Amino acid sequence: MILQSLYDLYGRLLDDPESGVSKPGYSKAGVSFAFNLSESGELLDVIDVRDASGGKKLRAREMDVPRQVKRAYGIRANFMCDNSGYMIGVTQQKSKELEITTAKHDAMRALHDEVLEGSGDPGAKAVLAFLHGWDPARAQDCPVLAPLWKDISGGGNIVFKLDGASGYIHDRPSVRGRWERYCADKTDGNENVGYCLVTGKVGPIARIHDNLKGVTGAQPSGAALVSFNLAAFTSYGKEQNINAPVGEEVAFGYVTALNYLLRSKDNRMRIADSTTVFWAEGPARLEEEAFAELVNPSQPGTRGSEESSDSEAGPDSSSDIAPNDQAKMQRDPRATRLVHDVLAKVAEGRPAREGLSGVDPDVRFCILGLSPNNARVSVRFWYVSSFGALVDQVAQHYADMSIALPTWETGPFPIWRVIKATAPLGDLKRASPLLAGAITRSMLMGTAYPEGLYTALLARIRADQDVNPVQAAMIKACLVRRDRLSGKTAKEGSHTVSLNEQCTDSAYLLGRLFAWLERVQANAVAKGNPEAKLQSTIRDRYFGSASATPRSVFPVLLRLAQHHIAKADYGEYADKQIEGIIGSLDGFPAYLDLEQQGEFILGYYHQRQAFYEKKPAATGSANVSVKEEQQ
Amino acid sequence: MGYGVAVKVWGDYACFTRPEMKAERVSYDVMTPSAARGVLEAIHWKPALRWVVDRIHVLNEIRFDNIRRNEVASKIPARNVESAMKGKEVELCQYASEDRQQRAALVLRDPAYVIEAHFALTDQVGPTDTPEKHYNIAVRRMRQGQCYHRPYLGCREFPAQFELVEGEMPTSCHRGERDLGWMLLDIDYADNMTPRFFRAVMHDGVIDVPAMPEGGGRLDSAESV
Repeated sequence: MILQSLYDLYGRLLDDPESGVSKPGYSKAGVSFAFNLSESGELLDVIDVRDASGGKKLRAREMDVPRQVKRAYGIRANFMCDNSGYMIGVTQQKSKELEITTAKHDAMRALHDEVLEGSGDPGAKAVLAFLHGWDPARAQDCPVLAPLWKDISGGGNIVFKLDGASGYIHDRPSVRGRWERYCADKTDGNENVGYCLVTGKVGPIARIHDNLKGVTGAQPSGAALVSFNLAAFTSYGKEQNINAPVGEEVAFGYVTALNYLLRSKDNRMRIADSTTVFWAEGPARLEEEAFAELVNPSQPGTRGSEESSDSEAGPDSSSDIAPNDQAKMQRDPRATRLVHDVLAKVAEGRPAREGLSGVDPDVRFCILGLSPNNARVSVRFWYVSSFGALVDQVAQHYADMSIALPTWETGPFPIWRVIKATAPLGDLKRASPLLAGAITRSMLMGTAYPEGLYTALLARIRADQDVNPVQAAMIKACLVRRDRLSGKTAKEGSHTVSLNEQCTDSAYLLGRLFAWLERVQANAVAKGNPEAKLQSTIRDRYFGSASATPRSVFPVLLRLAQHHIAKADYGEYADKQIEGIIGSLDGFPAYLDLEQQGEFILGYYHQRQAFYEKKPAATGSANVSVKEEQQ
Repeated sequence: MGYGVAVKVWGDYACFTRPEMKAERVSYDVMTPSAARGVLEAIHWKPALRWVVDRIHVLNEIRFDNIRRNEVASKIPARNVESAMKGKEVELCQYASEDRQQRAALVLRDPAYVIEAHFALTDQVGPTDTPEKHYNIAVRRMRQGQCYHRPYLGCREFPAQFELVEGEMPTSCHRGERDLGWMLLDIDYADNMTPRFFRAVMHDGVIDVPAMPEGGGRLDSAESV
C-alpha cells in the first residue's frame, strides 16, 4: 500500500499548482551555473545561478530539468543539464588533477543529436552548435570560464540559456516537445511489459527506479526504496526491478511524491535515526502541521542547556540526527495553538479530542519511517490512521510520560530525547538503531513500549549512577502502560506525576530512602563549608547496587547516615523522615527485579524532585545535580 | 470443491515479503495465496495434484515489528555449478561471514490464519491417483501434524504451527471491509514465471482468492475436483 498511497499523492500534487512537483519526464536538480550561448553556439558568458541566501555557502538552485538518469557506473549523459565532465569535457575535483573526459562530452553530444536532430528551434540549434564546436582539451584556456573555473569544473550542474531570450533553453516549448516525444519513444521501446503491482494494469515496467534524496544518513547521491542491487535479492531469474513489476509512470510518480515529501519542511520529521514523512489523504494542511508539532514538540526550553553542548561539539556531531533545524522551523501559529490546547486537555485528564477545534479528525494520515542502509532505503514503519485517532494516541503517550520536572526542563519530550537518554554519553549515534522506530510505533498505535527501551534505560541509569528527567518520565510511561495493558489498575501503584507519600511499594520506598540518604550527606558536607563538593557521593558509589541488591547496601548506608544526620542542618527532620520510610518497609529485599528497579528509580526521582519543589532556592545538593545534568 | 480442507496456521512471526520491498523486506498485511499454497505443499504434495487456495481467514490483529538480520549478498553462480558438474574443480561454497549484508525487515507479529483450499489433479496423474485417496492422505497428515518439511509463514525462519479445522471455523477479530491493495496472487510458471496480482479485499477478516487468470499452463491441464 505504500507505493499506491504515494502514487495517489502524486496525482493530487500534480493537480495542485503550488506543489511544484515535476511532470513525467522531468525531475528536480540542483543547478549551479547557466551557459549563455549565442545563436551560433558561442559561449558568451557564464551566469552564476547559485543561491546565496543560505549564509556564506552558495547553494545550487533547484529547478525542473529534463529527467536525469541514474548513474551508478559508466557514462550516461543527461539532457540539457549536467556537470562539467559532460558539458565541457573537463572535471577538476578538489585538490585532484585536471581530468579531460572527452568520452563523456561525446556521449552528451550524441544524446543531444539524437533528441534535437533537425530541430529548427534557435535554442536547440545553439546547443548543438556549442556541443559540436567545443574542444574539451582547450576548455581550460577559455577566457569566459576562467573567473569561475574552480567552481564550474568542481562538479555542479550546468544548464543552457540563449542570449537575449528569457528562460532557459530546456524550458523552451519546442525543446520540451522534443524531449517528451523522445521519452515516450523510449518507453514504447521498453520490452518489459507486465502487470504493475500498484495499479494492476498491464504496461511497460520500470527497470530502475529513481533515487530518493533527503533521507538522513543515506548516500549523498540518493538511495532507492525499490532496488535489487545484489544477486541475493533477485528471484525467478529476473533482473533488476523486473523482480517487482512497477509501471514506468507509477515508478516515476511515487518517487517524485516521496521526494516532494522529503524536501518539504512540514511533512518531514527526523525521529532519531529514521526520517519520517507523513501525508494526509486529502487536502489538510493545518492537520499536517499540527501533527508534526505534536509528534516532535519544538522544546523551547532545552536549547540553552543540553542541546548547546551538542551543536558546539563539532560540525558533524549529532546534527544529522538531532533535529537542530528546529530553531529555523516556522510552524503555523494555529497549529501550535492547537497542539497546546490538546496537551493542556491531556494534562487536565480530559480527552485529547476536546482540544481539537477547526480541524477534521477523520482525515486519513499515512506515516512512513525510512532509514538508510547502504544504497538502499529501508522502511522502518508504515502506519495509516485517522487524524483524530493519532492525536488520541500521541496525547496518551505524553500523558503516560508526564512527571514532575525541574525548572530548567519543559515537557513534553520528543522521541529523540528519549533515545538520547538511553545512549552512552548522550551520543545518539550509539543508541540502538531499532528503538526509534519501535517507540514511534508504540506512540502512534498506543501499544506497549518496546521491551528493549525499558532495559536500555535501566542499564543507562545504572551505568551513569544518576537519573535524569527524561529517563524518569519514560520509565514511568513504561510502567503505567504495562499496567494498563495487562489490566492492572495503577491506582495503588507509585506511577504518579510527583511524589506519592501514600505508596507502600517497597521498591518505591527504597528509592525515596536513598534520595533522603543522599540528601543528608550533601547537607552534612555543606554545613561546614557551603562551597565544598564531594569527590564522590553515595549516589556515585552505591546507586546501582542499591537499586538492584538493597539488602547488601542499605545497612551500610544507614550506618553512614547517622554521622551525616548528626552533622547536618535540619538533621532531626531528615532523621524523622528516614525513620518514617523505614517504618513502612518490611525489611530490605535481597534483590529487586527489573520492574521493581523501575519503581526504585521513580521513588528516588520523585523524592529528589520534591526537595526542589519545597525549596526553589536550592542548596548544595541541588547545585551538584544541576551541574552533573549538564555534563 | 467437494474435497476442500481448512487448515489453521499460526506462528510468532511472519514475513510475506512485498516484491517491491524485497531487499529491505516489508511484509504484506496478510498471508498471500502463494504462501498459503506453500504451507499446504509442505504437508502433502505430489506431482499429480495442485493446491488451489479459495479463501484466507485473518484471525489475529495485524501487527508489525522490526527485526534486523545478517544475510548474504550474493548467490552461488549457476555457472560454477555447471562447471563443477563437468568435473572442473571450483569452489561451490559460500562464506556467509565474508559476504554479509545487514538487512532490516518489517515483519508481522503473532499471525494466525485459516486457509481454505481444495486441490486439482494435474496431467501427471497416475492410474492409482484418485481424489479420494489424496484427500484422505492430506487430511490424515494434517490431523497428525505430519509434514514433508516444516511449513513456514513467508520466510523459512518463521516456522508455522498447523492443525486441521474440523469443527467450527475460528472467529476473526476483524470486522467490516478493508482494502489491502494489489497483492501477489501467485507466479505463473507456465508464462515465463510472470507474477500475477489481485485486489485483496478483506470482508470480516475473510479474503476471497480468485482463480489464477488465463494463461497459466498448469491451470489448463488441471482438472478441478
